[in-house]
Amino acid sequence: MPTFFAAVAIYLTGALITLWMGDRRRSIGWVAWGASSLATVLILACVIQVFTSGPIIMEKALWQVPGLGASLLFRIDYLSALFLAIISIISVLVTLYAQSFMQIAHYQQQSLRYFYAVLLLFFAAVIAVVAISDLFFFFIFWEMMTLCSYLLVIYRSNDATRLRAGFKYFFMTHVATAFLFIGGLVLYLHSGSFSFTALKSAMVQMQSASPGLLHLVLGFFLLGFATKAGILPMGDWLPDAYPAAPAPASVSFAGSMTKLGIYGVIRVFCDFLPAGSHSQVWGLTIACLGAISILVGTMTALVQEDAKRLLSFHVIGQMGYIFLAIGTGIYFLPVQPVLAIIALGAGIFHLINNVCYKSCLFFVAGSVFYKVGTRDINKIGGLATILPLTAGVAVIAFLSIAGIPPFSGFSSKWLIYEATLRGGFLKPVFVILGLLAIFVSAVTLASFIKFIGSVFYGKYADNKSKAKTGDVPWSMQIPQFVLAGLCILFGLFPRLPVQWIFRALTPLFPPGFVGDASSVYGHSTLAGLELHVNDAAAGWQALPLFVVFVLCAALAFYLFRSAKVTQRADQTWFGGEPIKNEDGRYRAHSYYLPFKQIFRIRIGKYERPGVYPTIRYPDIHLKKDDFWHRLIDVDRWFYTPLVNATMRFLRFFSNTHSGLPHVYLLWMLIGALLTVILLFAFSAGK
Amino acid sequence: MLSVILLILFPVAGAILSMIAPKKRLTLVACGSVTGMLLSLIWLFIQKPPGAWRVLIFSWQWIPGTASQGLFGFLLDPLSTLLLLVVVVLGFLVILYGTGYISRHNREHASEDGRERHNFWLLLFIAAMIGVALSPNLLQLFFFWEMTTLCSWALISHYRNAESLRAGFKALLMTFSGGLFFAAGLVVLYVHTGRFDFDALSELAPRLRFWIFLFFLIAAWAKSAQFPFYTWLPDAMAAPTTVSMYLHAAAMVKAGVFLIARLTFANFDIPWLSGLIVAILAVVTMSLALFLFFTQSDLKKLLAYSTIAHLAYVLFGLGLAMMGCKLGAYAGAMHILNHSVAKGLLFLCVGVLSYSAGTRQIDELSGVGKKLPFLAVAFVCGMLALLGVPPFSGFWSKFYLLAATLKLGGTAGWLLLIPFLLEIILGFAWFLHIGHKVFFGIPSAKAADAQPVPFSMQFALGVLVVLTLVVPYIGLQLMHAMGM
Repeated sequence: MPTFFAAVAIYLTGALITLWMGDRRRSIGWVAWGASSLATVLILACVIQVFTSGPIIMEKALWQVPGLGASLLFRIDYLSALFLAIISIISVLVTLYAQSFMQIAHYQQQSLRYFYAVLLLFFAAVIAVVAISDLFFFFIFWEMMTLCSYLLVIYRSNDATRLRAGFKYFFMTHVATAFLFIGGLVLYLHSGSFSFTALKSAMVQMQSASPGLLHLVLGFFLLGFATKAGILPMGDWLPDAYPAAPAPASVSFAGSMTKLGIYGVIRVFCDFLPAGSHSQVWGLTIACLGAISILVGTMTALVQEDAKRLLSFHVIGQMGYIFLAIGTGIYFLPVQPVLAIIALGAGIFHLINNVCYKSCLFFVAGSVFYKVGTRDINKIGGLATILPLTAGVAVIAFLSIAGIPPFSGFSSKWLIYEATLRGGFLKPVFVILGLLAIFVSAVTLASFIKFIGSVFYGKYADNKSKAKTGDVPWSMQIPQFVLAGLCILFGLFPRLPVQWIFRALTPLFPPGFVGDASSVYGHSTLAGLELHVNDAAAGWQALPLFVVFVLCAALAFYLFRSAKVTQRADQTWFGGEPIKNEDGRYRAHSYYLPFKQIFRIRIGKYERPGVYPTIRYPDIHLKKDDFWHRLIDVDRWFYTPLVNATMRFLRFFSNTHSGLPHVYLLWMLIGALLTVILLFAFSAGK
Repeated sequence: MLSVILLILFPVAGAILSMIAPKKRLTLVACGSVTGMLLSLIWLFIQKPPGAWRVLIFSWQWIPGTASQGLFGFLLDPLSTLLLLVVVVLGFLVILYGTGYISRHNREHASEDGRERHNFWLLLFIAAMIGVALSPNLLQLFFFWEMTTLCSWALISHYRNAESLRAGFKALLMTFSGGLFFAAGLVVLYVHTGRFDFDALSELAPRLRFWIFLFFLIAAWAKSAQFPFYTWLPDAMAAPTTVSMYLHAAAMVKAGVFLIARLTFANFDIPWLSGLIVAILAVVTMSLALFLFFTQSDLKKLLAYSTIAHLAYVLFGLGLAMMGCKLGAYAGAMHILNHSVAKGLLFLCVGVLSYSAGTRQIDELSGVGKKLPFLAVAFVCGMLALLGVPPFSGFWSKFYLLAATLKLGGTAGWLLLIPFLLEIILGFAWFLHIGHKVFFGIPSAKAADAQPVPFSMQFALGVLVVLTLVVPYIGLQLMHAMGM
């Protein structure tokens, strides 16, 4: 545990130092990188310790909140360790990448210390969220993470669209967190403590005592976590906020923050919630939400023309895959634990792969922006000539996200298909969800053909020919290479991450619950079907297949060469018309036109392509003098009339002071008479 | 003993000296007296026997024959410490800030006239508030209470133009009318129990207790600008920002809720019905203030309505406590401290805007952060504290309030929860929107023209930013000492 605290302290100190450093634009980034790599080393040490000698548990709380059963207590179990590893690696890559990226003219006017300090604080909050074992502090760190990410979204704060994106993001996630708070509080009132273990037993007790309330609580939790994860319809903030943030920040959101939504779901629905009827209801809900996100997110990505916005919709789509897998897992927990654990494992595996290729793609988008200064993929093309390495990396990540074997995306998607389709034997609806996932995989491919084709290949766009040749600096290359390398590694050797994932997952459940966990990929039978024919690694044999691929390719190449066909490279023929380079370019806009024509939303005059309804918040114009304002203006209808009436009455009374002696005499007489009458009245009979 | 006397004496002496000292020495006198006050407060806490959290420091039986012990005296307990911290620390900062703010360079009110008047009334007010905080019984609280009303009248009318004179008179009229109910309640209480103590209320018959408590409530509602007496507070924004911040956000309006907190903590057997009334009116006030947010074009008035809403939070918590969930009282009391710091910071930020850009109209301001980055940081911190984003101050009390509402449970709890939550969320949205509008984006003409701000004002902002992060822990400790 001290190692972990040291890591947090390093992030915080790093934030303070960068804040203090001021405008040393070069060295400030290295300080941030140094801090995060030092912290990463420590965190990885923690992770290794967890996987070798069991969870790190803190005995004594750092701080006990008075009047509330909450205590600042950390615990790193296998699941936390898995996420810690992901986050820490991302933090190193991001700070390294930011090094050169933040030097571009676009951010020249902005304060770098603000960026780095907030970024490091963000990482501190994120690792705290993962390692905490008390729901109250979980929320606190969760909100701190939200706050930091909001500050990163509005980093270029003189830009109205960024401000709007930041507002939408902060508002939506704040509302979601309010629901999380309510859910957490209801649980707390049943358990008397916010500690994870107490909440676990509270859920067990509530499951039988007040199932309705438990449904409400779970619904609130799901709402909160799904919003953060970017699951539609709650994740509407995501396509706005991601493009608004600087590329390194987008990567850290994609690589760590949105993934914490998944972490939360696994914590609550697998760890806290005992397997039972509740898990079935919410598992199905989660899976369906995931399927909706897969479909809508990816379909919408197809028509995007802003590089980062396109990627953002893919974030939604890919989070949908993870939700689908995890939902399937949660659904089958009570009925078929082995299948459940495959689905959960598939979800987490996909999450890890997603971190790799999605971060890589965001880095690529950042590199393109670094080079040509725009994210509009209509305006660029043929960048492979000036960015050959980045283009290569982009292709690897693209093949991975599209699920092409033998890249990592395929391995995890394969597991997801397997889990959903096999689950379909028990609950047919999962077959539909699984088929949907398979179909959308093709859409992903189409979308990235557009991205890669229009950005890196085709004709070099004229208007950007001024861009310097030569690839991006190595500090931006390395993170891309590392992530692309992981995409290949996890694709060829899926067993590597999968065995760690299963080691992280099985301790969430009581011993013996999963059956023989080690034989998940052994010879279990499921609904009469044999799960795996032989003891294959993580669902499919990647390496032999890859060898076969390579051999086929070699054969094809050999045949091609031996045929001795003559090749002739030539310009495209435009019927003899002298056409400028720019006019002959196949732009991103031109892709999938029929699709755009079919799928468009048309409500009256309002029309937009794609299936995604963007919510535009209406501008509020309240008039000051409407009925309600008059109604609540107590001054107007009560106090002012009251004061006026009092004044009128007093003025009327002052008329008695006429100044004439005989009038005063009259008053005295009346007064005396009244006194006498009153005296008689009160002393009657005495 | 001596420290308490000094604590009150320093501001009083400062007030008197401000009137007689030469104008050149005015800053020195003001700063000297508040520094002395702050030091005496620290001395008081050092002197306090450890562990003892309820000490009657001094008492004088000036009406022979009353059953109350220590008719005049100073009671130091966690609750009074809470208000004392607000009064003294923020008083120190506001006087410091005022030395920079009331000046010829101020773009909104470029005048140094009446600095001595301002300091006199403000220091006197600080003394009166210290008296309110330390009062061991209702009678003494009432005396100091009316003194604060008087100071408020003078300070609102500071600029002596028609608007501020009217606003000052209005505030006086409304809070004083409320004070009459306080006096009436006191008389009946004395007649029936012979005591003025806070817990004397529980000796009354339940029916009478309800009515007397309602009388105190009316006084508190008027003082804390709650529905239906809220109308004086927005008008009182005609005062200088120092006054708006200190009287109408941090200290004076807190006197009302402080009275109810005192009564609640002393008598947890206040009738359920009055708790319901308090809670419902608090919710009504919140919704009303929220509704009025949307049409405010003046940043200061927006903050005034937000103050109204946040005082309603305090009363909401206290109402929950009367309805049976004690946690609410602690949450509400904690919110006194947390809100004072956050709102104080925001008011001072608006003061800086007036000083530097010469306007506080939301429409005329945007992109202020470009020219005055420290101001943007301070305002955003204050805003986050107000909106309840952890780890800033407002979060803690809001969370406890939510917890208390849910803990109360039942139909009442859930029904109260919904408007309360709605207020939190919509208030969040609106303030975020205003923060974006004013501090980010492309600088408007007035914002681009902003002038630099004196160190004293920046210092006050800086201290308050730190306090927004620190005070919740003090508040939690104090509430823990009260038995939370």
